[in-house]
Amino acid sequence: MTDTTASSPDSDPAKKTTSDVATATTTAAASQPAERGRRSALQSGFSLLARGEPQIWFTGGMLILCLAMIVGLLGLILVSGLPTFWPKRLDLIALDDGQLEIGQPQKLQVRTVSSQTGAEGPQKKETRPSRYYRTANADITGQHFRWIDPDQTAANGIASPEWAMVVERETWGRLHGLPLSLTETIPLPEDTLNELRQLDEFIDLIGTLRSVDSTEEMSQAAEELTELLVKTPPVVTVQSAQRDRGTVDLRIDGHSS
Amino acid sequence: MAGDAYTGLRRRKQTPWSVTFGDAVASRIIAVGGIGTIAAILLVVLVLLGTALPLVYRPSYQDWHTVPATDYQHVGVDDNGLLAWGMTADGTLEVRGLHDGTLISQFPLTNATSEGGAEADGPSITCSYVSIDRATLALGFSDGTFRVTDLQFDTRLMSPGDLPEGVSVNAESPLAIQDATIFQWIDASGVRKSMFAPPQWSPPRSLGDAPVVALDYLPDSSANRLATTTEAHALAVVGQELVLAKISGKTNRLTRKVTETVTTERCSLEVRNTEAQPLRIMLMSGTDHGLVVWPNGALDRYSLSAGTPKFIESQSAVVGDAVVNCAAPLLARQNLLCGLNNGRLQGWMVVRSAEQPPAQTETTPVASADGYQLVLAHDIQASQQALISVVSSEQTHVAVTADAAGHSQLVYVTTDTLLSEKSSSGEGDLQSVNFDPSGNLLVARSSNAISVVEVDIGHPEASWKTYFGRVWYEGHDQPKYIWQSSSGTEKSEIKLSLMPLVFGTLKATVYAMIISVPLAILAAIYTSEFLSPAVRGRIKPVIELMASLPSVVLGYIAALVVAPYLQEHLLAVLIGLVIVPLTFVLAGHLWNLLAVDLIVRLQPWRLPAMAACLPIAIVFSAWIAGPVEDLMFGGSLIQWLGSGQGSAVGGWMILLMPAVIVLVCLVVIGPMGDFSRSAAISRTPKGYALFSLLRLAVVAVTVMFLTWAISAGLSLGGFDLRGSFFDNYQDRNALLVGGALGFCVIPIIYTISDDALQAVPSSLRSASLGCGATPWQTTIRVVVPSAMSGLFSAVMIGLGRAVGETMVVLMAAGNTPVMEWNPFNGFRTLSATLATELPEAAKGSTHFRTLFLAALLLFFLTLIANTFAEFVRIRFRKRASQL
Repeated sequence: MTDTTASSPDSDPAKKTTSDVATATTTAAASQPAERGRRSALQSGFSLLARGEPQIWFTGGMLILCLAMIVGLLGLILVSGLPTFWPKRLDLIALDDGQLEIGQPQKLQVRTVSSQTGAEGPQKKETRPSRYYRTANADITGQHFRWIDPDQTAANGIASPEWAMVVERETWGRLHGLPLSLTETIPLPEDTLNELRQLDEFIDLIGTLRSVDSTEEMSQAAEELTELLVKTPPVVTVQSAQRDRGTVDLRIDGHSS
Repeated sequence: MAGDAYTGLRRRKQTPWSVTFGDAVASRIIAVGGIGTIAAILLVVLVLLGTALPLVYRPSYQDWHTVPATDYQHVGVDDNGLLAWGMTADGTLEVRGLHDGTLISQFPLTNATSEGGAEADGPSITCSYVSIDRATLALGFSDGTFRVTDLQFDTRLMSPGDLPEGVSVNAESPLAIQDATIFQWIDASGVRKSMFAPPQWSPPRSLGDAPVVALDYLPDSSANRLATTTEAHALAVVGQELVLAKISGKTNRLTRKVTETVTTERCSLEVRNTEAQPLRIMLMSGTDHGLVVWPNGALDRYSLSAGTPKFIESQSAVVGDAVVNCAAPLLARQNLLCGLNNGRLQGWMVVRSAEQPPAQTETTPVASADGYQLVLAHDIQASQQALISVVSSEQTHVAVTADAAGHSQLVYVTTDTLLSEKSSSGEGDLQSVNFDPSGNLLVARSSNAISVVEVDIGHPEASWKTYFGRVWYEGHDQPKYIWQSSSGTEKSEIKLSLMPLVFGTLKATVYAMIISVPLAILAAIYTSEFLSPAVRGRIKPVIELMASLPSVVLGYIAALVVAPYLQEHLLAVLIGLVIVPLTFVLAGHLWNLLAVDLIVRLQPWRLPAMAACLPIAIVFSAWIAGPVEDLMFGGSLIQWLGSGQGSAVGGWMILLMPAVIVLVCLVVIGPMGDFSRSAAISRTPKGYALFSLLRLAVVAVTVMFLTWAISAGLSLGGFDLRGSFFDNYQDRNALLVGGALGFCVIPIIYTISDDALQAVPSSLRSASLGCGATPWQTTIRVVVPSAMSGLFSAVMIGLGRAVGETMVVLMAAGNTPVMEWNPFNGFRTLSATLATELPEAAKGSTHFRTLFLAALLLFFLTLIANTFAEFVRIRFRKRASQL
């Protein structure tokens, strides 16, 4: 019972439309006989209506949305996941008040900043783009992140130094900085060590020189001195440590095991 | 000839044994697998049922154990049922062994006083009070003083070797008494030693000159043992005055000497009977309110929060000639229980009256001045006889009553449920029944005996009413559905309404289905009917890739990545929900403008062209959102939602827009369909394309105007959705969950729908196309109706998945058990509740078993969805098979 009643509405519109076509065709043909001769239903706009292009586009659009959802999600996972495997850019920013900041750009955002001009002046709100930087160096600056407005930076203030480094520390979080020098301590061979011991002797000798009286002893000591100077190579490294905002002395010592 | 096959080879007449064997093995394996599957599912149901079933057990009792005693005013027992104390009319505390009623020790009241001597001249006891936990006893005297003591049992475990001289206990004679101490043999490794700590009566504290006729005492409630100050409160009726006393104790840090100061505040008492003898007075909700109960049913409330007591209102507990026989506070002192002589037990609560207009204006005096109101929250027919005593349990919100016929009843006050009734031991006249501190013993006091009975109270908090009905919990102004399975203090109730959880599950499902069903079904229709098999073969797996994403990833991304984005671009997303589909329809109309031969030639480029529409639509939505937000919502939709300021038109437009769109589309398709058809026939294709484009514009403008007009009308009428439907924006909300759940549901619906459409016999398509129908007409009039059963079951299976989905809602729904349809706030589903609370629930507790009940409910919800899907699918398939 239900089957027949349910199937009848489906066939109904079809019948209706065909009859519509027939009647409409006759009326169209009757009303505009002279214009283009006999126009069939297929040549009229009815074929366009029957093709249902907008509806097809609607269904297709939903497919596109589904595809966009899945592709977008996978893309999002890839875009935010993969950069883990590559280091991010590190910018050295000179601010117009002379400070230096070094950090990784995070996101650009248009922020509404309310500023009051003068004591009585109206509070004005302005929107300006601002970039969020991961500046790290919390032991020096006290903060890990910072908003930096473009108009805060000096002209041509943003640079990407080749040697900008990110160091992960056990305390104080990350360190961003530029190395002042890279030194390496090299284990010395045995004979060089011997020479160094001789240098010690040499220093002792200078001490004794100050206290000798006879010329004979003096000439002997001078002879030993010359001998030592010829043999000893200069092994001196001088480092200056400077801890300033933005530029951090970075010192990497090789192990002398 | 007959034995020869066509090939000339001799045909084997017998099935080889290997095939028969394989057949037999396979059929058995399949049978075992099939039956095993059903058995496994049934086992799951059995386990769930088995754990949830004890919830419906009624309290069970052992037999009464009665020991002889004298006529006591109050009695109490220790945790182990070894000792009982009783207070006689002259204030003497007697301790008896509960095994045979032996009098073990006696502590007369005067013993503790420093004055000593003058027993005969001493003031007489005029009233007494025992706290709910039976650990504090307060006595009021005829000279206007009161005294307090703690009642403690000192119980320890010792090894049998440490027993004092002369005491011997063993398995045969497990009890021995020496020096007011009772020894109980537990096993070879332990003996329990229990004694009643001698009461340390406080010195008399004066409340006035007249006799203390009613007294309530609230000991120091601070849990800090290191504090040097204590603060106890007493409320008393002294003569015709109500006195609130604050007893501050200060311990000297060096000498440990306690100095006490008593400050009293008083006001005159509204006297309701000739003797000026109230039945009971009590402090409610801490020390905020004082209640005076009169035998004639008058309940007077005094406000104490200002320091001095002040009479506020009077309510009547009785109707007709009933009389209040007994009254007591319920566990947390939020409920006043009154036992009437007609067997009714009433629970009165002090609630805020700010929102509630006084319902019974003729009985209530003018709305009480302090913003509170004493209301009748619970009314239970506990017995057919007059109630003579009511006492609260110390563990649960169960009260035990005693009636004149000697029966005692257990009543769970919160849901007005009479749990069970137990007749008394029959020894003497029953005077009162109370619980022991652990809640496992009932102690009945009669004129010449003490009777105890072990009771397993079961799960009083579990009932149909708590799970599916509105319950009036303490501290709320009306009955509500509340899920709050853990509480701050042990005295507050566990609130176990499953309604918010079922509601949350439905809300998640509804929002997920609204988003995913149109997407998935329409996408499946396009894939199946308008894509070439080659492209279809490549696109279908991409969509199915969605199903391979773990739901925890979806939830994580929704909660941590999408939620902040949605919060920032909320209006753009809402506008996009309308603009994006509209853009595709518009693009379809524009496509119609192309020359016919071009359309045919460009057919392979249709899908890429559609893809190009999406970014345009998104950019347009984002671009238009800013101005719309400025125009309708004062610059920020989220602030608009939370503030309650600005015009209400925008909110109505958000809500009404989808409805108006559907309405206008129905009008255009239905009543205006003939007009469109005749217009199409009388025009050239190009003319009709332009006409339909114009029609689309008119429809869009009509929708906008109609929505705006209705919204403006409603807004002018003073209706604002904020505060009712809309509320503060929460970043974990139903819209977000709907989208994220869509990822779980879309691939299932899509795949099953696509398969269903593909299963439609191609002869039907060919016949339709052969009759001159266009592919679109074939799809919508032949293929989709034929595949309806498959499409429907696809939707229902997707629904089943959405109902049971856990991780997405757990991470993105906020998990607050609220019951609102607001798309911008969160909810808590059954599945998320199970995931969060089952690891924390104590095994065997009411909460634990309730969670199993919730699991059962979830199981049945999914089962119903799937069964309904199968049922409808079979119905549709029968129809389709006739095609």
